[in-house]
Amino acid sequence: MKKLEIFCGTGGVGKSTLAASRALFLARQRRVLLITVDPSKRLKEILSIDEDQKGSPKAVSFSPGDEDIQLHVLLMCPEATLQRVFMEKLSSSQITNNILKILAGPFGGLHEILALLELQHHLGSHSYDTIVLDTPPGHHFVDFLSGGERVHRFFNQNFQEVFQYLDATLGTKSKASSAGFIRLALQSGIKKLLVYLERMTGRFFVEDFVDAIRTIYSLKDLFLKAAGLPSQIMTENLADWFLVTSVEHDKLTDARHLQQELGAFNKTPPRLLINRCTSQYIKGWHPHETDLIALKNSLISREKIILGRAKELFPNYSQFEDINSQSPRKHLEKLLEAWENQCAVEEGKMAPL
Amino acid sequence: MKSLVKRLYLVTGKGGVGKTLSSLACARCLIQSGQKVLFVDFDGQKQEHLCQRLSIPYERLDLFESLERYIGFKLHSKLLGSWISGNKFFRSIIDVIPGMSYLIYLGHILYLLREDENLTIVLDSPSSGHALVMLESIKNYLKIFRSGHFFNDIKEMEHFMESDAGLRILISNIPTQLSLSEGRELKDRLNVMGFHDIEMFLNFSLSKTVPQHLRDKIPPYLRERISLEEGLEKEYGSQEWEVKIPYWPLSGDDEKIEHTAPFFKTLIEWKEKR
Repeated sequence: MKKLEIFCGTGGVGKSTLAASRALFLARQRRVLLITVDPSKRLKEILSIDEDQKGSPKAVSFSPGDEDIQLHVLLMCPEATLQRVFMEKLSSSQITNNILKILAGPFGGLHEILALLELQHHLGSHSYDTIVLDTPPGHHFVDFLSGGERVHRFFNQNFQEVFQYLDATLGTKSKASSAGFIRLALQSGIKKLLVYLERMTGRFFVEDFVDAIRTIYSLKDLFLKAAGLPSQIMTENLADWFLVTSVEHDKLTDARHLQQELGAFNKTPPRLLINRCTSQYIKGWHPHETDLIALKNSLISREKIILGRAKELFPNYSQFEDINSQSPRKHLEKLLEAWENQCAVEEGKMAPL
Repeated sequence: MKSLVKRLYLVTGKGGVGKTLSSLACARCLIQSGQKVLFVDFDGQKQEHLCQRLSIPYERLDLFESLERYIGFKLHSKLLGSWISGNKFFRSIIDVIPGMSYLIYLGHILYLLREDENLTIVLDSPSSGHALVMLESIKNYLKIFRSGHFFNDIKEMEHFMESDAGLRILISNIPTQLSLSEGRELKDRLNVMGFHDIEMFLNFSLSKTVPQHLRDKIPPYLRERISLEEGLEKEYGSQEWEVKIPYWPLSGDDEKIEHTAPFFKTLIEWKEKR
């Protein structure tokens, strides 16, 4: 059993519900934290958590039948993460810089790296046996991971001089020599860049900008450490990966892409979860009307195609049947059963469906 | 009252609601009604081949090309444009702040619209979280810049988006409780952000695929799905969406798009206020 289980998938495949049900399944035996980075905050509906509780883990209980399952759930909140970091490193939780305040908003753009920071924080806390991570949907399963790469590029060695220069402009550190300035202006062109930037944007922005860069730079070590998390997870084999797709939205190409990204590092290949399978429900149906025959064939063939390719590409895959209900609670209960069956199949107690 | 179309269409919605195919159907419908159309995307999968097969003019925007053109134009120097947009540090800043790149794309789109008064653009939406980042970045960066060229241009962008003839947002929903509640949430959020021309439509509707007289010839699972769909329609009120697009039992994307296009007739229509 790994310390971390990561659920990846494009939107609309039922990833959040599958991750939540998995967390509940594991929480029967272990201390589990479920983290969702999904900006749509689906889980708050499913597990009835309030929006104002986001940013720190909350105890949640779920009672299917006469059972009572306890776990912790964390709705990611980038601003809360940044405040925590500020408190730890700069002894003030106040985010005064205009640019940082806006970028740390829910859709501000810094949410991916802040999510990595938050995850790292909880991985280090030892309060949980397993963390189930529901990653944000993206065009690519790897969006979340590439957040780290982008930060690495930002703190690139070559920009060291830029940061030093920006530091010097506000005069908090010892002034660089004038010879140094000339060298800087020639190499990175930062001075020139700021002059042009001011022409484009006015003074306010340039001042805010220099201040924001300085603040981020003073947190450099923390950001870099967080940026290194994805590769650490992979090289140290800390996680089990679940790639979610559904028969309605064939995202196998994306899943394949991530499988290849992970393949180089991971010892255990990721498991593909094929959600919302329907052929169980319709295979015994033999319509005579042309329209209905077309409907049946279309539903059967889309599933057949995806299964065929899955078998070829993924050594580990599982199927989950579609659940005909509008109640999120019902979905969780049914999926909880499904995980149990999966487990029984793996242990050889039960034949697969 | 004159029947017209808007200058910019954006199909959005949560994941898996058929955004890209709907966007292409929207473009096809505009073309069929005699409009000059350009289909634009900037991330995700390139729709080049599909557009070619469907005879939809297509352009893929490149971030740094768009940026170079913009800065060069503003500072009256192509050389400066390419120097600044090529600056490594500048690039890595843009790289780390995705909201910024969306503004650059939107700026390019506005430029294309200004260049050609007769053009209508259909923008392939990035997945929903990102569509909000994109639209919200307009407001965010106004607060960030506060003055200067960038500020003025973003202000103009905001003005265009909110103007009568500017942007229409089409929200695609699928008939599930989750999708519909999220679609409504998205609409409210966009309203708060100042976007008011929003139309909802229902995609992958099984009740449209299976006509009433065949309902007793389908298995319980499908019957149940249809009745859930009808229940939702009652709950949400069908005035939320005038347009319901059936689930097409077809295999090719081209075919699905051609079948879907006519459903966009009422969704693209816009009546000019006098």
